[in-house]
Amino acid sequence: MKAKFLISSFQFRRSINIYFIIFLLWSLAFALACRLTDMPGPQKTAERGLVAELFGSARFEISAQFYEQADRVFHKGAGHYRPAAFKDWFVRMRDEVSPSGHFHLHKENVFEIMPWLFFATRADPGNAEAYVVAAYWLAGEGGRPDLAEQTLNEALRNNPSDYRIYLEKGNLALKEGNYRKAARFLDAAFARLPGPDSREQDPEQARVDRAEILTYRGLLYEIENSPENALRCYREVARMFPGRAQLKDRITELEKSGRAPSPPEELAGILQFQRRHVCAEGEDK
Amino acid sequence: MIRILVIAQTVWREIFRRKDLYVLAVLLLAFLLTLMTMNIFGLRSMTGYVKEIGLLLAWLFAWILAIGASVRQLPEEEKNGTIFSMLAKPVKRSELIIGKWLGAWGVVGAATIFFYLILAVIVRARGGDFSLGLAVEAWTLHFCFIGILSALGILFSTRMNSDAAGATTAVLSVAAFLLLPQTPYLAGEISGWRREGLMVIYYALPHLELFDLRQRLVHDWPPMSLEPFLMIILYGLLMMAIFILLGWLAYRNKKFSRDII
Repeated sequence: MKAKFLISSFQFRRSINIYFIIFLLWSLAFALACRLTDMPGPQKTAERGLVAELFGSARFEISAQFYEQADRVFHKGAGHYRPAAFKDWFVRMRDEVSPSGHFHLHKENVFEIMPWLFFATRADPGNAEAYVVAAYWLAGEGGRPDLAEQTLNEALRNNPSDYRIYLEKGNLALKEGNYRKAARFLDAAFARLPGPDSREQDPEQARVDRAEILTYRGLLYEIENSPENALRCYREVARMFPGRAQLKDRITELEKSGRAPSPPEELAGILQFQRRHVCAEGEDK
Repeated sequence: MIRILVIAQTVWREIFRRKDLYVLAVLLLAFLLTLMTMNIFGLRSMTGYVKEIGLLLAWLFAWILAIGASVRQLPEEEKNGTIFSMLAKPVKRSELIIGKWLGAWGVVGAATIFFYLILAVIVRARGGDFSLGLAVEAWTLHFCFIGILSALGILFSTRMNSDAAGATTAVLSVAAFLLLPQTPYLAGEISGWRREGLMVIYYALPHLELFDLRQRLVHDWPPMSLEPFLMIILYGLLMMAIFILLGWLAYRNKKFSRDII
């Protein structure tokens, strides 16, 4: 009897020991897993996601291809014009098969480019250009400034330090007549402009955008009845682009009388209208 | 002619018994339905991207089917030993090759109609436009493309096993589709033997890009003019004839060995 008790208690203790050992091993594995795994910190959402895990750096190229596709769709499937070295029967037949000519989508048809810009931003949430172009067309010919605002808000979450998003938000606010909001975002864009040695963005484009920010900010200062601040902005633009004769005239008028002949709100509207795409229908791209 | 059609009919039955066709059709449907449910910057009315991706998938699946269907016909017959009973009947090798090719071409062409129909229904349901005339034109050229691909697969399968023939057909067809349209622009940037070599490849490979009318269909361009349309079809038929002839030349004196099988 005693032997049976001893045997069964031994077995019971052995089973307890086994479970205890298993528990210890599990705890060790758990601790090791915690130590080895990168815990999600306050990272940019642009750096995480399934696409980033699957494709790695190739997602930037994928995003760029989607952006190119959006451009092709905007031009109704016609590719960029390239002169051929020879023109045989096959080239002539290919010209018959493929769409050719320089056309743009208009009005609500411009929404057809949105899926490709959407895919570009999903492949690479850091592709600020895709967000900005989407917002531009949504607010412009698409006639949906509400969706443009949503798109730019998403862009800001993924790219909190890219000046182009703030610039586009400023433009959107300006278009809606919300001058305070426009001034706030243009100031934020100006503060985030890349330095001259920055390799993150195209320096020439950054220079043009800097002039655009200063021009609009100058107009907003005029609206706020602050001609000295407006002059400061305009003089900076005139120094960067000395050929802008109309701007120089405006500077002269402001210096003379403190106000320019054309109201700043009107000029802002005209400049917004002139923010068109880089090519025109009918010309060789 | 009857024998050719009978052989083609057996190919049809064999391919319909397999699951490839149905799996691809279901995949296409699943992809398109997923695309339709996406919320793109708050918009849902676009159909262009559905058409573009749908047509791309239709082409891709037809490509896979055409190569898969054509390259295994002759090697399977040889492997199973049925080639002997078939040739013992008064079936010429040319009839065998043409019958197999017609069977593979026909069934993949029919599958393509089905893919186009699925796409048209989905695009129309979403309120988009799918021009019937242009779709018929696009499908006709696509059908010619499949014929060339099947002929190429049959040609390589006369002398290779199905895997090697499939790989060779796939590589050649993809290279032709991607490289040949760029050649007139690349030729201006290189010179010497490289240019000569490129031109040899340019004229040796079939110009499959001539059969691709997808951009016209996606972006609602008007249909092609009749004359170039017919000339491209003639070119396609010529390519098919050349590949089938080469296949027959490679197969007519081929010795089959029971020991090897």
